Parts: sequence; C-alpha cells; structure tokens
Amino acid sequence: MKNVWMLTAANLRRNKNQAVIIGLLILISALFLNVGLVMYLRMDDHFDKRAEELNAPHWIAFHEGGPDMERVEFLRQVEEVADVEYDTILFRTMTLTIPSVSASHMVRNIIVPYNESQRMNPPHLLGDSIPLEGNGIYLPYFMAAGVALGTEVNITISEERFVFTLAGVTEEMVFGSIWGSARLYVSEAMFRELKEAYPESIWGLVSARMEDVNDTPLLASRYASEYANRNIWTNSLSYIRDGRTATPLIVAVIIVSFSVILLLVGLCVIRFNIINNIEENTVNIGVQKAMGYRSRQIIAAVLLQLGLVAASGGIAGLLLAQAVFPWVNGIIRNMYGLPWHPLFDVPIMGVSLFGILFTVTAFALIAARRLLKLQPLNALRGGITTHSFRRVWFPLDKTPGRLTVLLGLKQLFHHKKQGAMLGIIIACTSFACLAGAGLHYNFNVNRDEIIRTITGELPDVIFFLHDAEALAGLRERVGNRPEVRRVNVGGSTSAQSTFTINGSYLNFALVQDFIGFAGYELLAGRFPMHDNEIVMGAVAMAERGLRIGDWVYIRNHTDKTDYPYLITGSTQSMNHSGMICVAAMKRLDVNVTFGTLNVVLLPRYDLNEFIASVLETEGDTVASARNMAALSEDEYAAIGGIFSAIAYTVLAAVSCVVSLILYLVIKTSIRRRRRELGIQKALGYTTLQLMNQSAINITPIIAVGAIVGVVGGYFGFNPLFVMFTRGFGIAHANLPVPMGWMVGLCAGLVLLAYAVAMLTAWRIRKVSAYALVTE
Amino acid sequence: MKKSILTTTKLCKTFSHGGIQQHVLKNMDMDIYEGDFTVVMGPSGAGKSTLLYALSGMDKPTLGAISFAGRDISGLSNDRLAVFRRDNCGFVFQQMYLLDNMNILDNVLAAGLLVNRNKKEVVRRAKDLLTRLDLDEMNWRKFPAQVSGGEAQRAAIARALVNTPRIIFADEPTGALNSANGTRVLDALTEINRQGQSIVMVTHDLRCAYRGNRVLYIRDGGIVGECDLGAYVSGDAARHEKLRSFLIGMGW
Repeated sequence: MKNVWMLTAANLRRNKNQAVIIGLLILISALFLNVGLVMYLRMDDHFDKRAEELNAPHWIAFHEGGPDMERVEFLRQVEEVADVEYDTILFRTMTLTIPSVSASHMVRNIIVPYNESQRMNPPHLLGDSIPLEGNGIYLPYFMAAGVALGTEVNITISEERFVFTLAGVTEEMVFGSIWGSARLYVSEAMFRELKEAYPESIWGLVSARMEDVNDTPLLASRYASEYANRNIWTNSLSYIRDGRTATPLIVAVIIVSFSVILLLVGLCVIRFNIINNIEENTVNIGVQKAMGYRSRQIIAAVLLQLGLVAASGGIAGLLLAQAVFPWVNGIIRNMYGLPWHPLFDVPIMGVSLFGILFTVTAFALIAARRLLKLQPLNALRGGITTHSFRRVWFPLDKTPGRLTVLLGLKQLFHHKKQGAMLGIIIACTSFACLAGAGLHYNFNVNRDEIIRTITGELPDVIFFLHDAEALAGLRERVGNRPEVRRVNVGGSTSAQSTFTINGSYLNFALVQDFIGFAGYELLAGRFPMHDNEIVMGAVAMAERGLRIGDWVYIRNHTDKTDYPYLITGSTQSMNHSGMICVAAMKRLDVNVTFGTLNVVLLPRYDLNEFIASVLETEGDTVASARNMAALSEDEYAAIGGIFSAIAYTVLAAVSCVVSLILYLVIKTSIRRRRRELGIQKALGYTTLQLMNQSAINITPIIAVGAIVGVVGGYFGFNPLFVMFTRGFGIAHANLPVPMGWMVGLCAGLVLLAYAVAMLTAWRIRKVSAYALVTE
Repeated sequence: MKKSILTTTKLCKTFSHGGIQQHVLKNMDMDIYEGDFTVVMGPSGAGKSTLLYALSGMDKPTLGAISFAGRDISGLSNDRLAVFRRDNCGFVFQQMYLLDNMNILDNVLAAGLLVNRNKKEVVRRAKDLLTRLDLDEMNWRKFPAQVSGGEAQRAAIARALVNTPRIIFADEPTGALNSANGTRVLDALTEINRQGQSIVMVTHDLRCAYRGNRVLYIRDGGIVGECDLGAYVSGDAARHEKLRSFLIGMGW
C-alpha cells in the first residue's frame, strides 16, 4: 500500500493542473447536485413541517359579506374536522409597493387585524418587529424579507393610496406567496377605517384543520354541496403547497439534470486525462513495471489519485452548496414564500458524495484498464503506439486552403478521439444552455406559449356579481360589447371543484360552455357537447389507464349516487385535472349557480379602460372586478425571475466549464506537441501562426458540438419540458426557441472557445526552436 | 574577393544555471562567406552548436552583433527572427526533426508554403528536390517513421532547400546515420554547395569536415584556427592530409 501511495503522490505532483481542473468540474457538479437534490427531496417536507409547527389550516373557504357563524357550525358538525376558526377580512385585489426597494406586487390581498388569539397560523414574526399601532403593517416574508423596519409601504386600492410603515415580517403558510393571496396584518383601528371605506370588500374566512389531512377533499366536497348556491371560494393546504413548490421542484429537476451533465463532462475529462497520462508516461510505466510494480498497483494509484481529487472537489462543492442556499432561497422566495435554509443535510450530502465518488472511480477504472495490456518491454520502447498515422489527412499538395487552416485540420483529424470527447462535451453543455435559454425566453421574453401550455385560456378579467340571478343578463350585455372576444361563466362553488371520480379526488375547472374555447387545452378528442360528457387531463387519464371514449363515475354527495360521464377529450393544465361545464355540473348539484363572469378581450383593446367602463355602466350588477391579466403577469414574472436566474447560472457554469476544459485540452496538447511546435518554429512559423493553428484545430469541433447540442436542444426542449412537468399535468408543449438565439448561442460558444484557445495557446511563445535541439 | 553573408562582432553567449554563469561564446568576431561550405569543428562543449544557432537566429546572443547580408539580426524579436529564418535559412538537424504526423511531401510543403503562396510552384519544386535527392514518388506519401534514416535526412535537406534559402545550417547531419546513408547525405550537401548554396555545418566527424572548403576550429568560446581546404574533390589525398594536419595542430 505504501508503494501505491508513493505512485499516487507522484501522479498528483506531475498532474497538478489537471487535478485542479477535474476537481473544479467535480466541485461545480457536486454543488448543483446537492442544491437540486435538497430542493427536490426536502422542500415539500419543509412546507409540511412548518405547516404543522404553525398549526396551519388544512382547508379554507371565503364567502362574501360579514360574519356567518352558520358555516362554522356546519363545519364543526363534520366529524373529520378537528378545529374551525372564523375571521372577518378585507379581501380584494390591490397593488402593494415598497419604493425603497423598488418592489411591487399586485395580489389578492387579505387584510386582517392583528389578533394574538388567532389559533391557526397565528402571526409568526420573523426577526425584529414593532408592535402594530397607527399605520404599522406586518407583511408576509415573500414581500418584505430583508426590508428594514419603518420602511414606507404603499397600498393602492381603487386608485386611493394608503401609506403604511413596515413593522414586521410574518411567516405565512396559506397566504404567503405570489401564488395565491397574501395576508397583511394591520392595527385594529386601521382595519376599522378600511372596513368603513370598502364595505363591499368585507368577506368571511373560514379555516379548518382535519383530524386526518387526507380527508380534506371530502370536506371540500361536502362544503361545496352545502353552499353551492352562494358565491364562495375554497382552497386546501395541499393544493397551496403543490402550487408554491411546483416551480421550485421543476427548477430542482433542471438543476439535478444539469449536474448530471456536468458530471458526464467531468468523466469525459477524466478519461482524456488517464489516456493522455498513459501515453505521455509510457516509458515511466515501463520502468515501474520493470521494477516489479504490478499493473493493479499502478491502476490503484490512478484510482486513488482521481478518488482524492474527486473527493476534494466533491466535499468543497457540498460545502459551497451550503453557502448557495441563501441565494436559492432568495430566487424562489416569491413562489415558495417561506424562509428556507437547509444547511448541512448530511444524508443527502453523503448520497451526493458517494454517487460522485462511485461514478468517478468506476469510470476511471474502465479507462485505466488499458494499463493491464501494457507489457514492460513495449512500454520501455515507447509503448502503445498512440498514432499510427496510416492516413494522410488533407494532403497539402492537393487540398486548397490556407496553410495554417490545413495544418490545424490535419491536427484535428490526427486526434479524432480527443476531438470526439471535446465535441460531446460541447454538445452536452450547449444542449443545457439552449434549454436554459428556452426557459428564459418563454418565461420572460414572450409568455404567450407558456401561458397557453400551463393554464390554457386565462380570462383577462373576472367580474364578481352582487346577485347571481343577474348573471345571464350581464353575460349577454358584456358579451355583445365590441371589445369582448369571449365571455364565460365562472364557478359558484369555486373556480375549481374537487370531484370524486372513480373513487379518487380530482380538481376540475368549471366552465359555462366550451363554445369558442381557445388556448391549447384540448390535446385530443373534442370538447363536451352534452350534459354527460367531460374532458380530462391527459396525465390524469394516463395515470388511471383511461382513454377518450371511456366512462367515469362522478359521485353526487347529496344523493350519494355515482353518475356516469363520457370522456370526450384530453386536456392539459397545471391547475386542474379536467373541465366540466354547467349542464354536466347540474347533474351533480341541481342548485348550482354561477356568480362570476370571465371575460377575454380582443387584443387591441385596453383592459383597464374596459374594466372601468363595465364598472361604470354595470355598477348595480357588478360588485368588483379582478384584473387577471395583471395578476398572472405578476405570477409569471415571479416564475420568470426564477428561470432567468437558472438560465444565467447555467450559462455562467457552461462558460466556466468550457473554458476549463479547453484550457486543459489545449495545454495538454501543447505539452505533447512541444517537439512539433519547436520544429515549426525552427522552420519559421511565428507564435501567432501556431496559436491560430491550435485554435483552428479545435474550432470545427466546437462548432459541430455546439450545432449538435443546440439542434438537439431545439428538438429535445419540449419533450424535456413535458418530462419535467408531467407530474404537474403537462402532457404536450410547443414552446418556441427563436432561431436567432440558437445561432447566437452557437456563435457565442465558438467565439468563447476561440478566445480561450488563443489565450491558452499564448504559452506557445515559450516553446523555442533552440530548446528543441538543446533539450 | 569573397562576399560575407554573415558577420559577427564581439559575439558573446552566456548561459545561467542555478546562478552559475557559463560563458560559451566570448567576443567572437567572424565572417561566413557566400557560396562557402563552412565547417565548424571543436571539442565537446566548445560552443559549436551555440554558435550555429546564434548565427541562424534560432537563439539570441547575450552581447555583440550578428549581421546577415548587412542587416543586424541580433536585436530582432522572436517572431521577426522566425520570419528571418523562413526567408533566409534552411536547417538540417542531426535528429532530422521531421513532423511525425505528416508524410514526406507534406513535410517539405509545410515549409515551402510558409513562404510561397503559389501552391503549384511550391509543389513542383518540392517534388523536384525530392527526386534530385533520390527520394522517389513511392516515398513521398510515406510518414517519417516509414522511411530509413538516410531517406528522412534527405527529406530534411529537401525541406531546408525548398524556400531557396541564402544559407543552410546543418548540425551534425550524419550523426544519427550509418556510414552508407551518411555518405549519401554528404553527397547531397556537396552537390547543392556546388550549385552555389552557402552551408554552415557543425560536426566532429572528419569525414564530414572533409566536404567543406573552409574549416573553423573553436575552443573555449573563440575561434582558434581556420583552414582553407579549397573545393571538395573526391579522393584528394593531399586535401585530406591538410585537414588532418590542421586538426592535429588544433589538438583534436
């Protein structure tokens, strides 16, 4: 063993630079792997744990108007319910800005008075706080993390501005993210003032905790049946959790995938390194074998050397990941909404490190096995013939072109394996880059397609009515306005309802009818035409082995009967598992009524002007309007921010990795070609010519690798997106990646590679013709 | 009157190793004449190769000046020296130093196309030179590892000549060859010198020195003797004896 250690130490001394580069690649890979795994495996658990610690409600329901204790009584009588709480709240869409940090949120805010006796998710203040008095306000973590106490907070309600000062930051399980509503705490006096100013925005909030959280859908169904004829909104903690963690989980999968790509790149470099070292040190290996070292000892030294490098890089990466988590917390804060600092998750760190070490060692063993075939005598005589040069590539007398280019191409074709390795690395990294760029483009530059893919047709505005009876008239009047492309009636029970379908709970979107339905929601089949037809999510259908034309049974909880429905088509959406129309809904609940009107405008009209106009002319019928376009813009901006951060991180990591690998390859190549470069210098080649030759040697590989990666990314982006989001209901995507971005990415990679190659090849100036003859 | 092509003035070359300075060339003044086959001889460590590579612009002098056809080359940058070498010099090394990954013809063309962009002309000249040096077409497409040492060295001579250099520097050109191949290489050098090509050759082989018309003997960094042998004539015993006497006189 002592001998193996001696060989290992000698290998490490001789290959310091390669060790550093491999270590850095492993470091970056371990960093991403750890961050991705912790996000993927721990985020849901963290949410559930905090929900239990803060005694968060499992289910909530809003209803219009003042206190209604009848609902509380109804819920208390449901035996699965453990606790019920009731609050009067101010519930409406408002814009909240914090000028000093340039933050702006347009959210359906819930304003409540500070109440210490609140049992479910009582106000849990993070860090310093000031008692709520006067115009003080407590904001949820996602809105005000890191903002100094006393900072001015502006809230605009119906163009009237209220100025508050930040008095504290709360941790909110249900109302604490851009995805959903935000709960703001104000003083009793301020709440009274706001209530008097906006009586139409006074709602009731009923919160319930279940004996068993799995019974929440049952409660939702019963409540929906009981209060079907009134305008209510419900939500469950698990649905909120899924919504808040969906984007971070997709990001986690992307990060883990990227770390695997980086690890593959690292493995390619390790193979290159091992083969290169064997070729360069054949004579030394021959001497070692002649001295009596066994092949296994020499291989063990190689494995130990790379194992030490991988372990050092891996451990450094895992430690660095701990420093990165606050940044990760920062970029997902708007979506996730909870402070999350998962430091030193030892099991995941252990699994990450073991996985990396096992992969590196196994791969190194495969590459180092060629040492077994190397006989001492052959090794001493120069060993394995690395280049047989049986073929003349680009003969200078017959091939047209500039000398430097031709010599570079000769070099390239004489080192095909090295070129293939480099090409594969560039293809993998450019593939990752394009995927990152695609996400950035679709979430930040042009959101049309991603909105169609994720949510289908989103109404521009929802009007809430005073009286559901007036809906039909309003629908006709608004539908006839020239600005309107389509009107649809929204749910009375909620925008979505939970159904018991074939014995399992599924969320369905409620629509009046499917005439003129736009978006990409329908993947196959047709929309329902009769009252016994529904469309279901493609993923939900696949999971249950259902197909178009199959019958499903939906339970009517009032008469305890299962009614058959024909699946006429498959749809997709991240928000629901299918859609049902009014006529079909009536079979489940004859009393069902609808209290909201969803409107989609033609693109050329101004939404704000339209809303103001409807509120002015229909003031007696319409209680309030919700600008869904602005709300979704805010939500998508938050998601887009996350994917932007990911795209830039991937781009930075790829640039770093490509630079490191090119540095290693070119430096090694120059070292191996010292003799050849010396001869060329003696013949009169200048340093610049030889630098260009080295750079040209790799440029075609980079270009081909980048094109393969980018084209692969172009065709693979949508299937990959579907794969990552399938668990959230996405079965088909047609997200665009602009051609200009693809060309730009290829050109950028080639330019980066050329620049790195020229900078690295600058060391050719140190190669002297004179040294060639004197060494 | 012979015309000087290379002149050194107070040429010094000093190497430093671990703080210890070694003065290899000391205030050397000399001329190399156009059309001459100049042979540099001397004991090991005398500075023969150092002189050759300083004269050819492969290395820079520590002090003093070297002028080539009246132009001072001692202060040129490395890249300018590279251009100087490609335009004016040809090299024949003991180890040949052909590029392993190119065949014989490409080795010659890689030097020729560096100076002359007219590919047809360079290819024609390269093939002509290879033929003149007894390398037939079959050998042109072979790699250096596939030909004999003598053939490789003649290919190196063809490479050195392809740009029609004003001077050829040869460093122990037969040192790695057997007797028969050595003779063929020397015949080739003698032949091109007869056609007017200036050659400077470093050797410690009497058989090689015999081919020159002027022999310089250096020791301890300076020229200590010079012998004018006149034009080479095969089997000229008097000429051979003159050289032997000179070298014995120099303590060789």
